[in-house]
Amino acid sequence: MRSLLLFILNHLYGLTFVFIQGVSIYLIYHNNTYTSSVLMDFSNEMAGQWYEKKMQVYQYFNLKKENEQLALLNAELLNKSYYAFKILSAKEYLVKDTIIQQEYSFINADVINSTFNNQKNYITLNVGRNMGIQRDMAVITNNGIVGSIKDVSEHYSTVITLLHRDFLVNGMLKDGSCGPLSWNGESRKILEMNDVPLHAKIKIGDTVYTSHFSHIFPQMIPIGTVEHFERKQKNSFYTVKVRIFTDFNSIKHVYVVRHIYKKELDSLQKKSFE
Amino acid sequence: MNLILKYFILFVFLVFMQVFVFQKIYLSTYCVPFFYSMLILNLPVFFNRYYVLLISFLVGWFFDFFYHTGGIHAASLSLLGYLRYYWLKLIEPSERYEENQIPVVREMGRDWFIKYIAPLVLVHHLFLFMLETFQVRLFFDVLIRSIFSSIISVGLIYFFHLVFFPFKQR
Repeated sequence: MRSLLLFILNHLYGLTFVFIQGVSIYLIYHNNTYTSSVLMDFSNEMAGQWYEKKMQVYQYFNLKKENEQLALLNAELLNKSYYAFKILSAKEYLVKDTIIQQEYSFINADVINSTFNNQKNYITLNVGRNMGIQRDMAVITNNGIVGSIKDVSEHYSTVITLLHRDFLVNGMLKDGSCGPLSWNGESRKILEMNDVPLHAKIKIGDTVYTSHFSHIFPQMIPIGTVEHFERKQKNSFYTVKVRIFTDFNSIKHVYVVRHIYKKELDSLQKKSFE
Repeated sequence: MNLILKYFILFVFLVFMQVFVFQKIYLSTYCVPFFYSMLILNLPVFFNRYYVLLISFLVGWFFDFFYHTGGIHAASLSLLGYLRYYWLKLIEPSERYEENQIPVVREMGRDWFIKYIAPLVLVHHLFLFMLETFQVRLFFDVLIRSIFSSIISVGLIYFFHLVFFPFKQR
């Protein structure tokens, strides 16, 4: 007992360090699991408010560019279908029809913070539970996909972007062959699409869309164009490099996609897969 | 000036520079400087080592909130705080530290200061990037990233600390 006490006293500094490392590793682990803990909620809310204040200042510098972009977007939307036009005028719009059934609705949101220097990049949006945002909803812009919702607080939410090592999205080439897309952590413009079968007809410059297998994204949302493809060392698959459309530097306005029947779909799949 | 107040201002300044300025600058994937460790590096030499550990953990955790990383910064900065004590002992110059000694250029000289911060900053980056990627096969990648980022960080720390701990005017 005495020697144990002596040992602890002699190595108190090291033991304190080990304890702190333990706490840190617990925090890292906890961060990756599904968490809606009070702390996360609180910190998300605090950081969100802080970022919103900051954004209010930053926005002044971009007003001119923003206005031009918005005018452009308005013109574009006016020329598009009534469906797209309605999205902007009402924040969320549901079509009631007997022939077609709407599967997705769109909620528009502003980006109030973004990171792009790290291996795991996130953006923060100014919409939260108050607008019906939930975990795993898709986030898109008008010319490409952005990511999926990670954590939600009352007024803010964070998004896992494409530029995140753990992010996967199922892509589809022009001829219908599918494969998962992920980021290898190098260039901010390039995603890697793996497991594309050798019989696929790939052409450089083809557009890659989200596939119908994705549970998060609606299908046929553009992701990027084929930059390069190769067969690595007798693999029975192609690896395709895809240049993404979304410019994460200048991302300001996004749409959060709500799958209206997600609950129904999830519970059905859960029932039959078990 | 009151030393505590000075360190608090330094902390606010580092948060501002790191989060609002350098988080927004993209140099390259291989060049992501994290210089907020300057706060720990510039604490007085004989500052209680347990407090150093605790402060480095809290400061790291604070940055984790901004980067949405859970505890990566907390872990790596507390490693730096832990090693600082031994490294300071190891490179103690022959004329000994004075009481209330602050490890800065104006008192210790430039060569000693670079020798003091460079390895610690490198260890901080290496551990940080290793936890971030968490894949053994990318070790070489991580090593290159840490080396380049550390070089930039050391430069920035050196520059910033001249602003905060300037040479006394005669």
